[in-house]
Amino acid sequence: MSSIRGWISRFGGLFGKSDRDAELDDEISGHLAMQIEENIRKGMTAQEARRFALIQSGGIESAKESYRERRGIPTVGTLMQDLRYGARMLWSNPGFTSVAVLTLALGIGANAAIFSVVEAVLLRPLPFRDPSRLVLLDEDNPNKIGSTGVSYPDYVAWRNQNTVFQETAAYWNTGAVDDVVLGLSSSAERVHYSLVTNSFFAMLGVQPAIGHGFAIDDEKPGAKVFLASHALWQRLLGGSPDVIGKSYLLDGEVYTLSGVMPSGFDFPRGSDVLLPVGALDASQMNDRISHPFRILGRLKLGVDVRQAQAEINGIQSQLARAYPKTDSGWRVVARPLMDDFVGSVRTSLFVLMGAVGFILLIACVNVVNLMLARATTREKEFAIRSALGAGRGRLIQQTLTESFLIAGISCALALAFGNFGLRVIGAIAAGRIPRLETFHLNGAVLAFAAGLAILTTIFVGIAPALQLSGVESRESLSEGPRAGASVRSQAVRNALVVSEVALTLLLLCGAGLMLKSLYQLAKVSPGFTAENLVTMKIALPGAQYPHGAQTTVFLDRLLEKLRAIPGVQSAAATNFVPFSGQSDWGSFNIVGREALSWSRAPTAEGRTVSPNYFRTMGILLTRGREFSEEDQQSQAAVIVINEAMARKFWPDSDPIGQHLVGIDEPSKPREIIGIVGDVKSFGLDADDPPEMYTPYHAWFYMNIVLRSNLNSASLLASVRSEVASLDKGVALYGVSTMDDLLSRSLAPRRFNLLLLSLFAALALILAVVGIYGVLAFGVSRRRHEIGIRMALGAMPREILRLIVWQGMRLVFIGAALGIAAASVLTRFMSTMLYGVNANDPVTFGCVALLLSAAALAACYVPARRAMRVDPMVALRYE
Amino acid sequence: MDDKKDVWQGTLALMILKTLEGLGPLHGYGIARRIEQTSGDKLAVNYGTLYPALLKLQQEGYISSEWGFSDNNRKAKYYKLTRAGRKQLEREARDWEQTTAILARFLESERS
Repeated sequence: MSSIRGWISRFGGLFGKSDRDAELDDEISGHLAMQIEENIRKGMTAQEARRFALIQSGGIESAKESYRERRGIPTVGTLMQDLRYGARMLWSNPGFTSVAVLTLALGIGANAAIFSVVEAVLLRPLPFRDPSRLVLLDEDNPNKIGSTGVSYPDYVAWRNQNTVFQETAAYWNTGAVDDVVLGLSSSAERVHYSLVTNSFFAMLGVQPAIGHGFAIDDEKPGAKVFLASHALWQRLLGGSPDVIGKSYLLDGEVYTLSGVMPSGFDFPRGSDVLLPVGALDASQMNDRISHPFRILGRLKLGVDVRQAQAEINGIQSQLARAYPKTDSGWRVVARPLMDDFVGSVRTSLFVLMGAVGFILLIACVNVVNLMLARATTREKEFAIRSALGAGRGRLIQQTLTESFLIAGISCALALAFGNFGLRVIGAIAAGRIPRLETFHLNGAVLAFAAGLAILTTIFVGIAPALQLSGVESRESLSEGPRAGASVRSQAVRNALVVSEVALTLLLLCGAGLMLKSLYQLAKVSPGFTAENLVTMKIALPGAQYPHGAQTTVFLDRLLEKLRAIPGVQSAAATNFVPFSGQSDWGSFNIVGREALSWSRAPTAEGRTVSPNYFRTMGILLTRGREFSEEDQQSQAAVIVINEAMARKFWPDSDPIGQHLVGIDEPSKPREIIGIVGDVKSFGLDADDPPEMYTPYHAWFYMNIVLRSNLNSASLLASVRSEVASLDKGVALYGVSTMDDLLSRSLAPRRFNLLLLSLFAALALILAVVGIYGVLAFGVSRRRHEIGIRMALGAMPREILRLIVWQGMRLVFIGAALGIAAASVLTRFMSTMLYGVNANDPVTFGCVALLLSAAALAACYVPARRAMRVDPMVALRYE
Repeated sequence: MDDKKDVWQGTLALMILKTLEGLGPLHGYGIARRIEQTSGDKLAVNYGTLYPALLKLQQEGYISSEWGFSDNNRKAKYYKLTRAGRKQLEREARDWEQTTAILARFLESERS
C-alpha cells in the first residue's frame, strides 16, 4: 500500500523538476549553514567551520543526484536526459560518429542484401505444391557426353513399376535444341516449347488460369492442342480470353489453344508453349534412343532420394536386359528438384555469404576499437560524472544509450544501403541467377544483422562503462591521460587490429583468386576469332518444306544472298554455334574396330556446317582439308573432326582417311578428311569436347554466322530483308555478336568477382581505418612519452620508425594469420576457380603486399604526426 | 571521522521515525545531529543518505513536511510524523527488537 503510494508520488516527481531542485538546494544549503554555525559555536574559525561542515556531510552534488533518483522513476526520468546527452555527444564527435555509423551500416546492409538473395535463391521453397518431396530423375551413360534425360518408354516403365513415388510426371524442354515457329496472320514467330505429361499439372499443383488443361486422349499420338504461357498470350495472342479454342499454326500444322497458364508460372523454364506428349508421333513415343525427357517424382512419405534412385536403377537394369542394344549402360540419377534450379550458384552464394559475414565481423571489430579508444579518452569525463554522484548503474545506462543511438542510426542507414545493394545485384544478375525474379530486402535477415550490431555496440559500450565506473575517481582526475595507457586495453585493441587484418586478408585472397581466374580465362583462346562475328537463328516452317532437299536449296540461296550484302566478308551456317549452350551429340563406330550397339558406342559433339564455316569462324584447319562446295552439293560421305577427337580415338595413329559410321546412318561410312582446332564450345573453362563436323543436310533450324564490319543493327536489317525476299514465313531471331556470347559465358564469374572484390575493398578500407584509428589514438596518448624521448635526443626518424613498426607488427601478425586461414577456407571456392590453385602463393603474396602497403599508409600518417611532436609543447601539454 | 560508520538505509528510516516521535517536528540538520548524538558520535549521517531517506518516507506517507523557520530564524523544512508513520514506527520497532533478540540469543548460544 505504502509502496504504491510511493510510486504514485514518484511519478509525480517526474514533473516540475526545476522547482523541486530549487527546493532541495534551499534545504541543503540551510543544513550546511546550520552546521557551519554550530562549528563556529564550537570555536572554529569561519573557514575551518565551513571546510569541516563540507567534509562532515559528504558530497553535496552526489546527494542531490541520489535524491533526484529517489524522486522520479529513475529509468524513465533519466532516459530522456541520456538520449539528449548521447545525441549531443555523438553530434559533437562527428568523426567518430560517422565512421562508427557508416561502418556498421555498410556491414549490416551488405549482409541484409546478400542474405536476401540467398533466401530468394536457396531457401525459399519452389512455387509448387509440396515442393520439398519433388525429385528430378535423369539418366547418365559413361559412354556418352554429359548427362542426359530419359527416353519416353523408359519413363513409362518407371511410372508403372515403381513403388517409391506417389506420382510421376515427365517433361521435355526442347529449348536447348529446338524451337517451333508460331504462325500468326502477320508474321512468323519462333517460340520455345516443352512437352509435358498430363500428370505434370496435378503434380505441381498448377492449372491453366484460363481455359483447361490437356485431356486423357492428348497423351496419345496425334494430339493437336497446346497451352500458352501468360507472357506469350499477352505478347502475341492478344491477351483476350476469346482466343481459347482458336487454331494456330505451329511449324505449319494446326493446333488448338486449350488454355493459358497463370502469370508468373515459368516451368519448364522459358517455355512459351506447352504441348501434350501426344504431340509426338507413335515412333517418337516408342523411341528408346532419344533421351529427351526429365522425370519428376513425388517421394512417398518415408522414402528418401537415395532409395528412390536405387529402385529406379533396379527397374532400369531390367530394361537393360530386355533391350540391351539401347538400354544398357544407363544409370539413373535422382536429386531434389531444388538442386536443378539452384545448381552452380549455390557455392558462389555461400562464398559471398561468408564474405559478407566477415565484413560484418570486421565492422563490429572496428566499432569496438573506436568505442574502446573513445572510452579511454572519456575516462576523465566519467570520473567527473562519478565524482558528481553518478552511480555505476547510471554510467552504464548512459553508455548503453549512446550505443543504442549508434546502432539505431546504423540500422536505418543499413536499410537504405541494403535496398540499394539489392537493386544493384538485381540489375547485374538479371536472368543470370536462377530464381532471382522476385526478391526484396528480407526483414528477418535485416533483424538478424541489426541484432548482431546492437549486441556488439551494447557489449562494447558496457565494457568501458564497467571498467570506468570502477576507476577510483580521484586517481583518474589527478593523473590525467598519461595514467590510463593501461597495458590491458592496449592489448585488446592490438588483438582487434590483428583479427581485422586477418579477416581482410582472407577476403582479399578470395577476391584475388577470382580475379586471377578471370585473367586466366581471358587468356584462353576460344578456338575461333570472335571479333566481327554476328550470329542469328533462322527457323523454317516445317510443313511448307516437306523434302529435305528443299531446305538445303533454301539455305544455299540464302547464304549466297547474304555474302552479296556489301560489308559482309563471309557467311556460313551451322546447327549450333559455340557458347550458345546448345548441343547435340551423335554416336558412332570406327570402321575396322569392334562395332558396338548404340548404348555402348562412343559419342562426340555433332555439328552440321556449311562448307566455309571454318574459314568464317576463323577455326584453324590443322591437317587435311575442309569441306568443298562439291562435298556439300553431293552430300559426300566425308567428315571433319577436331583435335580433341583425334587425340581421344587415334592417340597413336593418323585419323585422316579413316572411316566413321554414325549409328543413325549405318549405311553411310564417312571418311575423315580433315582435322580442325578445338573450339571451347561450352565455355572457356570447360574441357574441349570431341567434335565432328558434317556437311549440313535437311534442317528446320539453323544458325547463320556472318563476318562483317557492319554494325549489327544495319546488318540485321539487310539480312531480314534478304530472308523475307526468299520466304516471309521464316522466323529470324536470336541475333547476337560472338563477343557478346563469349562475354555472357563469363558473366557469372564477373558477378562473383565484382561482389567479392567490392567486399574485399570494403574490408580493406575498414581495416585501414581500424589500423589508423588505433595508431593515431596511441600516438595522441603517447605525446608526453614521445616528447620526453625527443627531449632526450631521439631523432624524428627513430620516432617514425617506432610508431610505424608498432602498427606494422600487428599487420604482419594479422597477415600471417589471414594467410593461414585463407589456405584452409579458399578450398571451398575451388569449383569457382579456373587455372589457379586455391592456395596460389602468388595471389596470396600479392594481396598480402597490397594490404601491407595500405596499412603502411595508415601507419604513416599518425607516425608523421608523432615525428612532428614538439617536445616543449608535448611536455607542457599537461 | 574515519572510524564513524555510515548508516544503512533500513535502520536510518527507523532512526528518523524514532527521532521525530521523540522530538516532534524537526528539520533535516536537526535530525542528522540528533542521530549522531544518540549514537554517541559513532554514526555519520550525510546528505546523500539522509535526504533520499526523508524523501522516501515522505513518498510512503510516514512523514510530512512544511517550510518553517529555525531557532535563529533560518528558513528550513520541518518534518513531522504522520499517523501512518506512528504505526509504522511501532511495527518497525517491534520487528527490530525481535530481530535483535533473536540475533542476541543466537550469538549467546554460539559463545557458550
